[in-house]
Amino acid sequence: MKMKRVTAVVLGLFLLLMASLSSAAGDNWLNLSPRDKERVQRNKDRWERMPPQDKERLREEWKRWEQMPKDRRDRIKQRYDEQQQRRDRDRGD
Amino acid sequence: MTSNVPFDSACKSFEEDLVLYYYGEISDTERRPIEQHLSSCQSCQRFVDDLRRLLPQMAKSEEFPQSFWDAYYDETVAKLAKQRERKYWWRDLLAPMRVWMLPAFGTVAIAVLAVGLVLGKGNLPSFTDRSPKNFPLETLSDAKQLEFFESMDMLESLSKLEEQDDQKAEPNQSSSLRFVAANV
Repeated sequence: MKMKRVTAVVLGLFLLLMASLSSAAGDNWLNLSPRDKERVQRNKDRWERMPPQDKERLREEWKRWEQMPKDRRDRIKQRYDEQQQRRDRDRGD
Repeated sequence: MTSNVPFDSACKSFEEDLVLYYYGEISDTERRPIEQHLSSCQSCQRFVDDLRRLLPQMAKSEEFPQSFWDAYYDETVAKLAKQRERKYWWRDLLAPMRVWMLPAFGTVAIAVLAVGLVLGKGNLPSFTDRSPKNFPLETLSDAKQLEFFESMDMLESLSKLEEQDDQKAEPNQSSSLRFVAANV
């Protein structure tokens, strides 16, 4: 009887763990705006089809990006966003 | 048991009447000439005797032995059991589960659903359809990976952006140097 209870508790805890992991994953995704979701999806598809050398280059750029000081990252990000907005505006016109 | 002894042939003109006579299905006026003929015709007498002897055996219903009824009962019970089995086939799938496992699984499933709904802020559609198509769970659960895919466009032009940032920083530096020099 005790063994059965232990099995039931372990099984329940495992399922709860899986549910919370899946929920956390979903939260990361849910917190993105529709535009960002679309971008992530598009880039993921592009990544799948990308040649290995391009992937490697992007990995290196990512490492460089992560090691940059925060103020520089913010400046670059801001500059990129501005350029994107300008491009979108021009495309709209 | 029926006998294999053939009927003796009767006079052709009386044969049909003799059968009706045997069954008592003729009127009194018809009976008299038949009885007169029977008293003088031996072959017709034998024919009626054969009818008396053989017809009751032929009409007798067959009695089945007890073993037949036992087999019939067993077969019917087996057929009913098979039909019941077909109706509740899904019970076979649950058969290996212990009695306590079914309610335990049910409770755990409800608990997981409840926790999921709470974490999903009560938003059922977002809970059931929260992950995008063809997206591995590890990518979604890793915020870094999501960030990577989100900023992939920017990473592709990172060098150019850095150059622009450096160019912008240089005039600022030279102007601050000019400011320092002027003050000195």
